[in-house]
Amino acid sequence: MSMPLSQLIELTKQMHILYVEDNEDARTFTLEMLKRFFNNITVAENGQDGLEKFKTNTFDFVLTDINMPKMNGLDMITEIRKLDACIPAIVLSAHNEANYHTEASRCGVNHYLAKPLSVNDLIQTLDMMLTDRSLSTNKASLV
Amino acid sequence: MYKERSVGIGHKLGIGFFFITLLSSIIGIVSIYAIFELSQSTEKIHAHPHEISNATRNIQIEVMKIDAAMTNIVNESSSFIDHSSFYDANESATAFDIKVAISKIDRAEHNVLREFEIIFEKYLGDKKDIDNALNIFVAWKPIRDKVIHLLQANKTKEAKKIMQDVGVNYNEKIYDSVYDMMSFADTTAENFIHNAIEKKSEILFFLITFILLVILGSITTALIIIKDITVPLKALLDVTNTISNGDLDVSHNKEIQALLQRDDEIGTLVKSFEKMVNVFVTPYSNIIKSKRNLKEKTDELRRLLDSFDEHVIASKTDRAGRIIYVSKAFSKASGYTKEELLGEMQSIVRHPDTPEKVHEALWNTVQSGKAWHGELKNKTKDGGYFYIDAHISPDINSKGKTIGFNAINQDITAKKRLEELFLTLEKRVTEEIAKNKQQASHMLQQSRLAQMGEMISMIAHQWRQPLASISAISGTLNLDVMMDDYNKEFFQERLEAIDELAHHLSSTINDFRDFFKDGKEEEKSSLTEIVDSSLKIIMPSFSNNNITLDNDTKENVTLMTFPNEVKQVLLNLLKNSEEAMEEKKVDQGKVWIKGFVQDNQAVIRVEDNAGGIPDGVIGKVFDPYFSTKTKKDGTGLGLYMSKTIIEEHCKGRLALKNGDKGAIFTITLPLEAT
Repeated sequence: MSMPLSQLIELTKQMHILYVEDNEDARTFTLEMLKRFFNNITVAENGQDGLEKFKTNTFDFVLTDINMPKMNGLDMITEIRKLDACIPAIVLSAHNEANYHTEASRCGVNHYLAKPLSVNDLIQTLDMMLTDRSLSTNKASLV
Repeated sequence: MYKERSVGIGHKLGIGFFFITLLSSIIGIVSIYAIFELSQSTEKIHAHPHEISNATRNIQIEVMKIDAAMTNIVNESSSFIDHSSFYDANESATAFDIKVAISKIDRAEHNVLREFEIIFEKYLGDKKDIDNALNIFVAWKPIRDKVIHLLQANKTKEAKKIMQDVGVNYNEKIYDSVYDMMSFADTTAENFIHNAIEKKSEILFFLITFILLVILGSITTALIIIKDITVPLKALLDVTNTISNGDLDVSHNKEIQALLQRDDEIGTLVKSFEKMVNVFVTPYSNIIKSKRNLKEKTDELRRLLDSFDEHVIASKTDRAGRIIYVSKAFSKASGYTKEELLGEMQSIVRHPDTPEKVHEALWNTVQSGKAWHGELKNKTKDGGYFYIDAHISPDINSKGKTIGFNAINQDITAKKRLEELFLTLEKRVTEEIAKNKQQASHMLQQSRLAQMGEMISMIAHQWRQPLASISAISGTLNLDVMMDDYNKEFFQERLEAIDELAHHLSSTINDFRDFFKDGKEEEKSSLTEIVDSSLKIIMPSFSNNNITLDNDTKENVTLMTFPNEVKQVLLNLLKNSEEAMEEKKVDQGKVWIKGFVQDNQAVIRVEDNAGGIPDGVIGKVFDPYFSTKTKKDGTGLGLYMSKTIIEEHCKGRLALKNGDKGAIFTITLPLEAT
């Protein structure tokens, strides 16, 4: 980890993320944890919903489940990529198989996290993301 | 038609031949006689005059000698010269001369007498002539003696006178009589020749006649033979030819009719022949009439025999057991050709499996003149086998001697195989049952495993959410600790929540574990409990898949059954509905469960709106290993095992039909213990 946790949270708190999850129970407790990191969380219940919300908002990154009705997470990301090629996309999945990873990265997924969401995994991923960002020329959104 | 009273052929022939023989004999005899006679005549002819003339000449000579001698001695100047004497005519007659003359005369006399004897012997004429001549001669002697005497007494003149008077006479007389004899002899000779010639003509004529007669007789006899024997024989021959061509109508034959009239041997023969033919006419006509029938019957019989030959396994052996006949069926069954079997011992087809005792018993039975009946195993040419039901009997001839053995058999190989099969049948059935049991238990095990797999995945599914929640909560709490942001109340709440979630996890385990407890005995169960337990398992999954459930189960229904097994079946049905809805992408899936009592039976009815099962498939859904799931992770055992469990273990029924919305499964269970 490149920075202390408090510093990380300071940075993430300012982010606006899109969180897509169809299961209500899962959403409840995960949101609680996410709120420790992000102040602005837009929740969508499925891929369709998520896509709509993406079009009408600006997000720092997308956090999505895969298996959802109406439109699954990967399809949604594929659509989002058509609109924004750079935005980081993180998928949460109950499955943990190699071919899912391959397919996911083909759709433009940046990070793959297993369910149940582990807080340490999240911290590591956010750290990586921020480091990438700091390295990239686009610093406007950070400040 | 007149009756020919004819003499028998034999008689005719006899007579004919007799006559021929007789005539021939006569000819022979006559010929002999004639030859004899002719020869005799010839002889006589030859002899008589010749001898007579010789004799007479000799007599003349001797008489001349006597005369000469006498003259000599009488005449001193006699000039009779006889070449045969030494007498000299110019000498005068002395006493000596007289003596010589006497001896000459004696000698001559002797000769004459001798000649006369010869003539006597041979003269063919009247012997009186000879007597005459002889008498004359003899009468001369005394005169001569007187003369001699006178001469001796020198009474020459007296002697001469007597000589001149008488002596000359006698000389002439003798000459004449001798000459007569000679003439007679000559005449006789001539007569003889004539006779001979005549005789010869006679005999010749006679012989010619007789020869002609003989020829005639032979011809006649021949003709008799031809007429009486050959002609009828030819007629008979013609008739026999006619008969041999099938025409038995002898009575109308004219020739035969004629022959029948005869009294002789031929007549008898033909009568006999006709009788013989008549004996055969009726039966023969009958035979001709039924000839066609016979042919048909013969053909029928032949076909029957061919059929037997074809299908009956039969054989014949000689006394020693050597095969002398086999039927076609035998040949076929044994694999050997007829040629290969003929001449071989019966034991060529003996199979080593047949015990020696059987063969011994067989042999002893048939040897004692009785028939043997039993089953035998025989060996084929290529080492295979065939069974026969054999009937072997001794072949006894009319004299009571056993000349061989006959066997008539039936092929019972098929029957035997069936018997063998039958014996092993029980064993095989037991084996099959064991195999089936094994199969069933294998299937059951597979089903169990499949179910377990399903259960595990269901558990996993149900655990995922609570685990995720626990994880999220612990993560949050962890973060707060890391951020040093404690809230006692918050922590307590959340830890209680974890507790509750853990509890939930545990109850899920319990729920599922109960499913796997198979009751060994039927127990008193509540219908609602069964339904609710199953629903509890499946509901999380249902709600996840947006499937609603309508449960209408009657309360207070108890039944004696295996509750866990029924729960498993119900769960299987619900799962199938869920999967069907997922496959067919049914939007608002719904399942109706109805539990009630009907006809003293508990009924659980499960209906869904997944569209039902296609008609072509609905009959096979209860087959093991049958699946309509496109996701090929299904082992397809579910419905087969469900049916087996309900029907065989729980003694109930599991039925399926298509409703208007989807499939309707009906579980029927007896209320009372079975």
